Amino acid sequence: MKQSIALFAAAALATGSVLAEDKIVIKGSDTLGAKMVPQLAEAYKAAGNEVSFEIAAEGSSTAFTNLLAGTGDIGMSSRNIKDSEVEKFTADGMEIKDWTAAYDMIGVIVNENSGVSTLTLEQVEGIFTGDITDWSEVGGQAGPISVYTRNTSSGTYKSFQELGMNKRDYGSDTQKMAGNEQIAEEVAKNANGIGYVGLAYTDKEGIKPVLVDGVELKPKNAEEYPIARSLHYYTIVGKISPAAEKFLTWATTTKEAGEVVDRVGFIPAN
Amino acid sequence: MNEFSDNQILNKERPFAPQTQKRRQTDTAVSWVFRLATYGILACAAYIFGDIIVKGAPVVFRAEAPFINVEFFTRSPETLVVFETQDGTERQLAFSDYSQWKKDNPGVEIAKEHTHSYSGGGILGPLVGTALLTIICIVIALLIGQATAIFLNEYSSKGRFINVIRLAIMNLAGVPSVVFGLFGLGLFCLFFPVITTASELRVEGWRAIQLFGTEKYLAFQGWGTCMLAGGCTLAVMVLPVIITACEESLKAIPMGFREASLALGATKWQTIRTSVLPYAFPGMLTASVLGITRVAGETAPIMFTAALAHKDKLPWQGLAVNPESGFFGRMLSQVFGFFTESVQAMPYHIYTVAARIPQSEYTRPMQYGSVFVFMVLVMCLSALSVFLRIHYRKKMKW
Amino acid sequence: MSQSDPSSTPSADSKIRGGQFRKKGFTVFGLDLQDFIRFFFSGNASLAIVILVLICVFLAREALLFFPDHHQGLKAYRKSGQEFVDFVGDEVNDFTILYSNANVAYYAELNQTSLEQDNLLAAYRAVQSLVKNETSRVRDRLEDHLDDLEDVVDDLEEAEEDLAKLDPAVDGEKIAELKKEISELNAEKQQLEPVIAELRPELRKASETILNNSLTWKFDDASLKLSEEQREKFREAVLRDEPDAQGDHPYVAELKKISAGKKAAAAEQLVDFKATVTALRDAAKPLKSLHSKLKRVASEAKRESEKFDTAPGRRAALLEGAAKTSDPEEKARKIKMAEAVMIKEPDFATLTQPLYAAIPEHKAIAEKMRTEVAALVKQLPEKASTQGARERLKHARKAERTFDSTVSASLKKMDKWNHDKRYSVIGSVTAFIFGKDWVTNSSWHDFYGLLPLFTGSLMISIIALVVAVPFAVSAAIYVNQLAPVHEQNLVKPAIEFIEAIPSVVLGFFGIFVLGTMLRNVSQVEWLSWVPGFPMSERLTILNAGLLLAFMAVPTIFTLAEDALNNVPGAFSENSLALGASKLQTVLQVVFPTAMSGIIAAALLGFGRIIGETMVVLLVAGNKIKIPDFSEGLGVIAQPAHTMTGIIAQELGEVDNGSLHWRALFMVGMVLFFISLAVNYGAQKILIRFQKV
Repeated sequence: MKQSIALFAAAALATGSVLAEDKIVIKGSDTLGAKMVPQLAEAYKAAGNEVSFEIAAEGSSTAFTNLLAGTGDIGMSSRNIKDSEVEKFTADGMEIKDWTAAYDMIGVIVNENSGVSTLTLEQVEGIFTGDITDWSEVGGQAGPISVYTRNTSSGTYKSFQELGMNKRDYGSDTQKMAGNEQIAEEVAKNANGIGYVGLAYTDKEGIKPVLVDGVELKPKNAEEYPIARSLHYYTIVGKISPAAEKFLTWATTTKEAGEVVDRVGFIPAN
Repeated sequence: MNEFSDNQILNKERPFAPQTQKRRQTDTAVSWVFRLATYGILACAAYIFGDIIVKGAPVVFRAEAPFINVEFFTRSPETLVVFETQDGTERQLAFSDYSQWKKDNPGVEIAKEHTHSYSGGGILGPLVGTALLTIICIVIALLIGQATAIFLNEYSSKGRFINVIRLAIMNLAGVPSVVFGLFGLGLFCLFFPVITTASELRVEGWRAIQLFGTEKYLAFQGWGTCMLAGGCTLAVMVLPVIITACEESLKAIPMGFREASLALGATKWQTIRTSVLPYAFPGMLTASVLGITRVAGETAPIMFTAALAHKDKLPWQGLAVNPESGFFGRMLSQVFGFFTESVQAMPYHIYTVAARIPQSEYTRPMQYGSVFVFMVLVMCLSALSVFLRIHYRKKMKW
Repeated sequence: MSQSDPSSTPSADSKIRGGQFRKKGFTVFGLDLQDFIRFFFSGNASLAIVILVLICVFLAREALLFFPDHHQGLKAYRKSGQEFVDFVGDEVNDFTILYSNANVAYYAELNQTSLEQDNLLAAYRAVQSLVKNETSRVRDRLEDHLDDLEDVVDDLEEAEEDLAKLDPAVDGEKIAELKKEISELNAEKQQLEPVIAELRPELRKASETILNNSLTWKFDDASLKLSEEQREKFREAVLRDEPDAQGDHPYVAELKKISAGKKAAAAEQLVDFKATVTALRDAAKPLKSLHSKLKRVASEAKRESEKFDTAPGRRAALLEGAAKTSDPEEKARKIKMAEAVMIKEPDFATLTQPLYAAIPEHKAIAEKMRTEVAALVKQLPEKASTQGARERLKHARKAERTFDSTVSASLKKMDKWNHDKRYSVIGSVTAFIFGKDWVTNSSWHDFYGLLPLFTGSLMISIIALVVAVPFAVSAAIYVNQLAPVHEQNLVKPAIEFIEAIPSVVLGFFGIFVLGTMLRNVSQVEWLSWVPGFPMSERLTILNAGLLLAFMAVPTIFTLAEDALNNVPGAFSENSLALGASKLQTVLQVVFPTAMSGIIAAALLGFGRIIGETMVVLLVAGNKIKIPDFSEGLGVIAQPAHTMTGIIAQELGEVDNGSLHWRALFMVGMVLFFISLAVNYGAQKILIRFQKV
């Protein structure tokens, strides 16, 4: 058992206090973490800041699980923190701070060959809850609707449920995809597909965003568009490292950061 | 079998009669069916290889010296920026190059800029990560596997204990890899002990034991997502393969070697050390290559235990050192800091570029390039293990 | 192995120990170095057992805790009255199916009349987007320049307006400035215009090339029979489509007009149908509004119940936090917060009172709706002109019967329902094993039912086996019995080599190549007889099944080949000597003898397939629903989710120790036991085989 003893010893000595000083670990939403935050990080480093980043984007829920477990410095979330989550932090004696990262509109996208280009919010709800199953019911050519949604940990999944589906549950016919880009990809390849993605992902070839309640998906319509939301960073008060705080301040206030946010297709917060 | 009835009657009368025309035709036809099935499988394999080679090789190889795409192997994945300059030429640059380029060419107007995650740079990070994971895994698995094989082959006698061990090994071999992932997460990432300070403590009760005389705790809170946890998980998974392969190599050594040694008065252990292990070395080598082949391709066990989609530094870069501790303390914290880093890994990287980013002319080089390199690597290892097995089997004839 | 083990029996050992050749060594507790070495090795060997036990323990620890938690969750589901509301929900769902079918049938009839134009329009959109994509480079440049031009023209107009407003006497300086600006803008405009003029024909030419190459097959594909004249118009419509084109080309506009006109005419014909469908929808309104009303009641009760469940924990944590802080203000605040945490159990009787009160109301509504719906469904047209509509109407009638029986069942269930009734422990186990829904992160109630995942895994595995076994066994027979030696030496390693392909690479191939390929193949007309074709999805059971079949082939092949190899040579020699041909010998003597080995091979292949993760995660489509078998074999064209896939997809995102987390461990446990059972079965079969 010599090896296993050695192993235990190794494990025992692997102390938790050897975290790198200027490493920022960011975890959470795919909406933020797939494009925007990596590019912000790269731009931040390019601006001459000596830090390193670790980014994992598995869904907004993971932002809070990681913050709670102490395995992340910054949580990215595309939805507001839930009461039940706030309670968990309070229970552990921690207080959470909310930074507005950007604004986003969730685009309902269909294949560009689809005859449908406008839907009412009620129809959107019907389609995603599974009440409406055929394109002919919403003015398209007959064909079964293939619905693509995000995976359940995603903030977009939850936000869309609240904003676009009257808080009803998704129909069981929906397919769960790992990321925005994957939804766009499938919809682009399926003439009967429909899905939703963040504003930043709607300019892909092969898809088109539909008008929801007659409002076009354009940044200038953010006020009227029914499925719009804000994106957040979350940190723990008192536990945030100076490097992370500096980065967040930079990312949420400066013009260069705003440019990056704009380039990836979101609406800058400042 | 109705069709044979004619022949059967014929054959009854003339048992040694040559087979009829019809008989021979059916025979040929049916064996062609079998042959086609066989080559059908190979054709599928060839198609898959062909597709990946045709689309992946151009990414890796270059027409002029040094003939390979050096950048692809010396950089980690980055965001790819695609933009057009004034004169309408399109340029693709990894993000860090892009920032540099913008600094160097301040006057140039940039149009139509768009970005693609994970598609720029190269695959150094994932390659290094996979190598590290594999090494950790193989070292652990070989140590344990070899010892187990020695026990099974040299020491054990028939009995209940040995049956249980064999049964356990056999069943371990059949457990789905994702279940190993669950197990690794539960045991290594969330349970194994670490020494930590009170501020880092995340467990309580019996799982946090204060070490007397210090501020530190021995806490059963796990190592977190790191390469050590991933390596251990993979080691557990590959153990049956290693044990079987090592045992085979031990079995191949003639009994006479041991008998001769024992007859000369050597102890059991001396015998094993001097007359068995040296000759089993090639077999062990084969076992480890076989193990590496198995482990390098696995994704599910490292998904939750070690792998990370984006990491901009290699695992040994940026390790923090506590300046107050002495030389030994610094060494220790460096070493363990290194092993508790999470890593990128090739299979997980491929999963990311396959599932998270779309296919387009800009992302395809990264996607196919990674798959091509990874496949060639694994295939070479596999070929090496086959070669070693055949080579030593031929050579080691006593 | 014992035969290779000359001297490990205790008697032999003790003899040596006392013998004269023995060197003297140290001993502790009567054990010498040799014993320690021996213990070291046996200890390592037993690590295999330890690991297996640890796997069991770590899976079981979380998994077994799942049932109490799940039980708790289901109890809350009942207590808060969500169960009750879902009785109404079931009615609403069944009605929705009915209504949806009737509605689709109506639209199928309606669209039938304008099918020709609609198909043309769809083809137009398809060709248009194809051309747009293929010519995007030129098109984008043209668009950019046009935008620039527009800006310049706007600026120019503005400047001229400003100029007109100014008084030459006063603002001489400004006028000069403006004039300079105008001349600059004009220069810019003159620069842009020729570029645009150049780009337009370029775009047109590029589009024409694309059109010429693709037009023919696009139209054949849509099976539109176009006259030469129509085709020319079509071309014009597509070509005219420059970035700044306003509105539709006359031809397209005309098509749209005709289509709309025909639809309007048809709508007049179908006015009764429409009225029935609308009446159907209206008939459900009271039930739907009752449903959402009750839903609010139950949600409120559920929230209270959740608060109560977490209260003691929160309170303890706050108190602990208060004890740790030194800041008195903070301490007081935390203690106050702790005191504010309610620990009193909510009064579910009061909370669910509105539900009980709603029983008579619901009964009245449901009974009325039931007769109305029955009458309305009878009013639906008996005959329809299209196949689609006929089928939909059939479905609608069937759904009406389901709806009717659901209503009866719900009425009965509601009468019996009691929020305080005990939820049996076995109920929580069966709710997991036979549960039809896997709904997580829901705003209503999380369901953890294994059935959709299990059926998904099973379907994919079965397809993989059905494909893999014939191929692998044929290959084994060929290689082992029929092929010449040199061919054997080539083919065998080649097939075994396949095993080394990492599964994530196959998954990648499935997404990038096979999915699209399968769908394109499925859309070929003469293949439409294949069940499930044409497929609209890329990521399907079929796709995953084929890839897994490919993965399983080497496993099955190797084991089957072994089994064939183990058939004693005398068997085939005898057969050949009796005058049987080679093939007769193989099929009637060797193959049956090796049968049990081959079955074991297939079984082990199955074990490998059902435990495979990456391929199904990437390729199966991730739809958590029991496959719909109403289409018969066409089920293979549907997406599905699997047990392995759900673990890989959701484990990273759940709270350590939550119910969801435990549910995933429970799924892992099920997988673990399946693999054990498969292994065990295969071994049993092999042992029987060895006895032959």
